This record gives sequence, structure tokens and C-alpha cells, in this order.
Amino acid sequence: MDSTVSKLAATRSSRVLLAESDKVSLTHIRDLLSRIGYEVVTTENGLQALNFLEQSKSPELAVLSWTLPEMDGIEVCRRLKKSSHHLNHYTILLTPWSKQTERTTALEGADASLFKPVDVRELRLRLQIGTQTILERALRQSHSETELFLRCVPSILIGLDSDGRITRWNLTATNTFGLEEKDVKGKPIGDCGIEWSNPEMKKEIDRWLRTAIEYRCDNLPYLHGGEKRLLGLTVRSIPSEDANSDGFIVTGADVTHRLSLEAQLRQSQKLEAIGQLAAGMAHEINTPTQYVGDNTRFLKDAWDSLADLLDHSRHLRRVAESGKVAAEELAKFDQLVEEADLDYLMKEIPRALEQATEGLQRVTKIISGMKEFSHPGSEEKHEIDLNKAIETTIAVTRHEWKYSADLVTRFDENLPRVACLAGEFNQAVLNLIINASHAIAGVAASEDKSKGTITISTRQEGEWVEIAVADTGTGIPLEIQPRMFEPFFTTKEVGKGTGQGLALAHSVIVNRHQGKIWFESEAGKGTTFFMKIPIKAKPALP
Amino acid sequence: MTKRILFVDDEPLVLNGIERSLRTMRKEWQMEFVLGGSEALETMARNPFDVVISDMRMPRMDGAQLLEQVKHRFPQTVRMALSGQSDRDTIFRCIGPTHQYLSKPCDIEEIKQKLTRALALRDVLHHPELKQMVSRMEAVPSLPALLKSLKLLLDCPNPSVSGVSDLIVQDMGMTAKVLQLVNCAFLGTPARVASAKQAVSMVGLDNIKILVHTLGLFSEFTDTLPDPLTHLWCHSLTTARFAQAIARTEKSDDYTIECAFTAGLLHNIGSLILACSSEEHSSLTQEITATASRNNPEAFNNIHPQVGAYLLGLWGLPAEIIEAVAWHHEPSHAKPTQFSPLIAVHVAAHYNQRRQPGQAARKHEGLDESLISHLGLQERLVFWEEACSEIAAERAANA
Repeated sequence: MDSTVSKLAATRSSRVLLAESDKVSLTHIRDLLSRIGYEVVTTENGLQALNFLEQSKSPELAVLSWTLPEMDGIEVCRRLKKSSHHLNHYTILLTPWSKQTERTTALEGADASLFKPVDVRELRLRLQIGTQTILERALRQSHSETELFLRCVPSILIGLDSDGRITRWNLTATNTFGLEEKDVKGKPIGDCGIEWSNPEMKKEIDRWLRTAIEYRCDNLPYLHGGEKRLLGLTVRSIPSEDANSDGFIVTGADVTHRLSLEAQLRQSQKLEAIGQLAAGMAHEINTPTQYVGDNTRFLKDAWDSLADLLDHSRHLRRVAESGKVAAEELAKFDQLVEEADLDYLMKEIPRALEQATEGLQRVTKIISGMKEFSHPGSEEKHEIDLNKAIETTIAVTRHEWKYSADLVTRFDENLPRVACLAGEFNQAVLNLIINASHAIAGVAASEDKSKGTITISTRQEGEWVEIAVADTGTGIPLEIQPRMFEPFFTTKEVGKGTGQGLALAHSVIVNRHQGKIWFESEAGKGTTFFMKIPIKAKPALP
Repeated sequence: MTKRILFVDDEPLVLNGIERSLRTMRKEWQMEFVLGGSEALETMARNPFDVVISDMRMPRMDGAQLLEQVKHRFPQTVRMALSGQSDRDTIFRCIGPTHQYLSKPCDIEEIKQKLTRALALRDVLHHPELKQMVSRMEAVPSLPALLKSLKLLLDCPNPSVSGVSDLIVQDMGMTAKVLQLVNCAFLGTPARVASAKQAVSMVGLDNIKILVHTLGLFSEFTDTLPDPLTHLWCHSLTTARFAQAIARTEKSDDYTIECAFTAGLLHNIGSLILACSSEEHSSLTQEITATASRNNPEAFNNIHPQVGAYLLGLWGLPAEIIEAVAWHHEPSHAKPTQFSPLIAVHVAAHYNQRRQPGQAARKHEGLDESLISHLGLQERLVFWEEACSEIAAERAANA
């Protein structure tokens, strides 16, 4: 029961305010009221009566005389009706016989009127009705508050009877499905007009209702206005006293938007990581491009000198055929050899060719690694070679760690292929490698300048594979360890990290692969992150 | 005398490539190649170098750290970066100690050209101590009032680019700094930019804020300025307007007009450099002129154009501006064959000088009339004078 109602029932139903200016009547009515069991508050002044009623926080019964100093009884009732409290109070106006004709006017303001002299039985009856009325009003108000409350809950709220027919249907349900309460009331939930994308949904719903336990389902596809949307629903049965179900409450929400936000977040983290990579990748590609260009330039200049030399050689050959070669022709040849720096060219041209080729291979490797790493468009699990995937990620992050750390791999060569969302898995490994290199850079910056070590190992453990990324970095302080996987938690400087890396790794491993992720860390010694994923695929949560 | 260049990169293949492609320069340049910062410092300690050109991202000592050390230990050496780095923080860290920034991959012809220019510049200024002093400068002090206004403006919620550049184009130090940034590849592809206004919009207000607040590359005087020094700004700005007006009268292209303005503004930057270093390097400046002091910047007249040109050259500003600054006293030295920003600044500075009280009588003193007539421009003088008078009248009316 609502608190106003219970308070009223418990305490205030037996109090009456009596306003009467005539002393004799006042004493008389007060005695009557006391005799029939009411506690009485008296006043001789209309204005005081109004103040008392307006200021009272609980519903009151009031008996008011027609004529009162400062403000007569009718006016008190009128004012009260206009104030915000009027519904809480019940007013009885005492009307002299002489004012019989004006009694109707009086009743416009008051809830009831009694003729003077007051008949005790009628007074008692009126007060009982008054108490009832106050109770009723309070109940009605509390009920409409509850209705409003249910109406405005921002999730779907549907009441079902024990047969699965709709008894309640809130505003959110109307907005979500485009169906009005009056159109669905009394219909079975499976057949009320919701357009389920899956034709088996009706059977499915029947099954929920029969099992009568709490049932939760995410991503139910349905149509709204021809648009495919997704719903998350929970069905709870309302237990009755005889252990049977008294009906069901269905709560839920349209999760289309939430799911798309989550997908966007994943995407934006991916973009962020790619942007971060791109800066480093640019550097990685710039370097070979520089020396491929320089060597090509050198080969061009070298060719110009060699072409002159070759021309002259051909000339000498012709001259030699026709007889003796003049000394100045030979001297010219020697001069060209000298100018071309022939010994240098003979030695350096093969090296330049070799190094230019090497440079191009490096660029090719970086670019194909980038492609392999991002796995565009793979939304399904494929069996992949994890060792190879990790190798690729190591290659694309080379610029992140090579200045501060050596990277060692200890791969299980017999590792089975693992069903995996390759792009997301790579992303998780990338985040761990980047964190490891930052942790090591932290040590390098604070202490000596020697490099640290990142060790990545893989192994099989029954139905699982375990990947470990260990660093010799700063370690994670004990006090922040519990927060490591929280989204947006970061210890890096503003602009250096968004606190998404580990949160994403966690979501990828735990939600998308039904795996586990944890870490062991010792301050000053380093941190090891472990990831464990099942070899055989399990369905991914979104 | 052969020039000595030191290349530093942690990638031996890059060094090999550069060595081969610059083989043709082996008669003029003596080049050495080392794999890291500490080796570079050891090599430099054994033998002085004219230019050091270093990669930025290297293990242990990175390029910014190396160039910072070079700045202190071997200040006469020109410091260049050749880097594939695109990370803004790293780039900002090296703006201070780096004279010029080349972005990898960089065409060997561009490297050759920048090196040639930097080396040619070595002969502009002969005084070794002055070379060291100029080479150490990371910033030229700004007029306090302008810097204060700039800081106030930048702290507003939405400062306008034009408001900011209106302040910067009046100041020698700020103008030189923004032009250094865009003419070298610090912030992306290098561009040939002569206008500080354009430079500001290319650098962007975010970066300007960092230059002002974090890097302190728009620097301040620590004490109050004597009037004659403050007067330098007013004189420079007038000369800039005059030179711009003269170039406009000649219907020059926009780039030349911009060069004329900027060179006019910067033509006395050498006096400013000498004036504010005279305290620190008192022995040095006494050597140059016994009478020179902060109260008398004019006293640096003989040497200041070369000092200014040397700094601007180190900072990689367009050659036209450097030429105009270096030779505005004796333009024939540069052997001009046609109208150029140099001529505009030479004439503008002369007109401006003549407007000073007590100078009016010496009508054509200081003006190289034989050069002007040699170039066939003596008929133009009257139009130039008219254009400058208009500017002067405008400025007087505004004041």
C-alpha cells in the first residue's frame, strides 16, 4: 500500500479540525466529537482554519461553521479547493437552517454540509464517509502515479496472464513495436502483431511460457516499419501462492542502437590503432624508400659514365681492327675510366642493386603485413595459424618496440589451427605488444638506456591454446591492477592512450572468443599478459 | 677548402645509399657516415664539421638529443635533420636545436641543394665567434607588446587566424620562426613561402600555441627595452611596407611582393640579434665595435646584414629574402640583373632612412644610383617615391 494511504489509515483518520466562532456551539460539537472517538483541534477563526489545513502535511477532516471571523466557512472551502492540498482534505460545512436556500452554493466548495443544530448520528456518518473519501482519493492518486511510472519506464514492460495473454503494455512497448495498448490487450504475446523475423518465434515464446523460469534472450530480430531491428528480452514468471504461475512480466529493450554503438566503438579503436600504426609504418616505409631512391639515383649516374666508357670501348675496337691504336685514344680511355671511377663502380653497383632490391622487399613485406593484419571484412571465425598471425603483428609493430626492446618468440610449433576472428585477435595481440613496449620504454626513460625484452609464447593446453606476452617493463602498481581492463582507464599521458587497448583485448578474448585474459605483474620486474582461447569455436557474443 | 659533412643514421643501408649517390660531390665535400649519436659526437670531437645531418629516431641517443649536444659542443656546425618521423611530439622536440628539417624520403637532389646552400652561407659571415653565436640561437626575441597581445589573443576561446597573423607579420622573430617551420619540412611537405601570413595559416593555431606556450620559440626580453631598440620594429615595419609598395609598383608577381615585404621587415634582424647578444657576448661585440650597445643598434651597421642573413639562411628561408637581407646596404655585391626584392628593400630602407629627422638633406646618399640606372630603373624612382609617400602619409594618419 502507498505510504500516504497507510499513514492516513494508521494515524490521522481520527483527528478533526473544528472551526466555530460561537462558544456554545464550539463546546457542544467538540464534546460530541470527543464522544464518538475523535481527537479535536479547535479554532474560532476562519483564516486560522485555512492556514492549519493548508499547512498540514497529512489529509484532514474538517468541520467548519458558516460564519467565522476574518474568513467565513464557504470561503475557506473555496480557497482550499483551489490550493494543491484540496484533494487530501474532507470538509463539512455547518449550515444554519436560515441559510437553507444557499446550501447548494455552499456545497460547491465543501465536500458535505450539515444543518445546525448538529445531529450526532449524522455527524458520525459524515465523518466516516469523509475518512473513506480521503482513503479513496489517496488510493486513486497512488494508482495513477504507478501507472504513470510504468508508462514512462524507458524499457519495454509487458504484463501477461498465466495463459500468455497481454494484460499490460507500456508506452515504450507501444513505441518500440508501433502497436497501441488497446490493440494488443487480451491477445497472446506470440500473436499480438509484433513482426518477428524468425517464423519459429511463436513456438519459441510458447516454450518460454511453459518452462516458467526466468528466460533471457538477446538479439531477437524483428521488423519495425519494414526495418530490421534487434531486441533483447527477459521473461519472468510471477509466482502465485499455489506454486503455479500467476502470469509473466516481459521486460526488454531495442538493442539495435546499442549494438551499433558497440560496433562503432570497436571500429574506432581499430582506426585509432591503425592511425598509430600508420605513423610508425610511414617511418618504416620511408627508410627503405630513401635508400632505394638513392641507390637508383646512383645507378643512373653510374650508367651515364659507363655508357661513355662503353661507347669509347666500341670505338677503340673499331680502331684496333683497322690497325694500330693511337696513344691519345688509349689516354682518352684511361681518362674516362678515371672520371667514371670505374673501380668504385665495379665494387658498388652490385651492392647498390642488391640493397635497392632488399629495400623493395622490405616495403613489400610491410605492406602485405599490414593487409594481413587488418583482415578486412572477416566477420566469421576461420581456423588460422596463430603463430603466423602473431608473427605478422610483430612485423607491423616493429617500429613500436625496436628502439626499446628485443622481441623473442617461443612458439609451440605443433600448435593446432584455432578458430578465430583473425582481425580482432591480431588487434588484441597488437595492443598487448604496444603496452609491453611502452612499459619497457618507461624503464628505459627512467633508468639506464639498455634495451628490454618482450617474450611472446604460445602453447596448447587441452582444448585451449594459451598465448603469453611478457615484458621486462615497469610492472603494474598493485593499486591499479583491478582497473586494468576498464574502458577509458589509462595511466598514459593525455594524447598517448585512450584507455581502450586492454578493454578491447578483454572484449575480444572474453566475449568474441569465449576465452580468458589475465595478467601477472611485479613492480620493477615486468608484466605477463595471458590469453586463453578455445581451439573449437563457440558462438561469439556481439 | 673542402667542406666537411657528417651523416648520422642507425640504418646502414640509408648511409650506403647517400654515400653512393653523393659520390659525385667527393671532390668538394668530405663526407663521413656514422651509425649513432655517440659515434657522431666522438667523430666531431676529432675533427670539426661544417654540417651535421642526422636521422631523428635512433636507439639510445636520438636525433633531437644529438643535435642539442652538437649545439652546445660544436656550435659553429650547421644542424640538419633528415627524418621519416611524422609524430608531432618528436618533431616539436627537435625544432629548437635543428636549423633545417628534411623529410624522408627526400630526393638526393634536394639534399644536395640544401647542403650546397648551407655551405655557401658559411662564407657569408667570416667571424667564427659570430657564427657560433648565431648558430646557437633558437629564437629571436619578440617585441614584448606584440608577444603579450599574441598570448592574450591565443587564450581567447576562438582566436582568428587573421588576428594572429596580423600580429605575427609585425614582428621579426615570430615572422622568421614561422617561415622556418614551413620552408623546412617540419610540418609536412616543405613549401617555398615568403609570407608570414600564409605561413601562419599553414602552421595552424594549435601549433602556434605550442610554439608560444610550451616551446617558448617566440621568446621575450627578460628586461625592459631601451627606446632605440624598440624603434627597430617601427623602422622595420615601415621599410617592409615601402618595399612591398615598390614591388607592387613594378607589378611583380605575388611571391616577389611577399619576399619584398618580409625581407623589408627582416632587413635589420641582424642588429636585433647583435643588440640582444651584446650583453652576453660583451667581449665579442667590443671587438666588432667599441661603441655598439643596446642603446645604439645602428652601430652594428657594417656587420648586421651578414649576421641576419646567416641566421635566416640557417633557418632555410627563401634565397630571395636572404639575398635582400645580406646585401641591402651594397646591392651591387649580389650582381642583380633585374628588379628583385633586394632592390625593393635597398630603396625602401633608403627612403625610410631619409624620413628620419635631420636626414632629409642627404637626398640620395646611400642609394646605389649607378646600379639603379644600370638596371634601367632610374625612371621608376619617382613612382616608387610616390608610392612610399602615400604609405607614410597613411601610417601618419593612422598614428
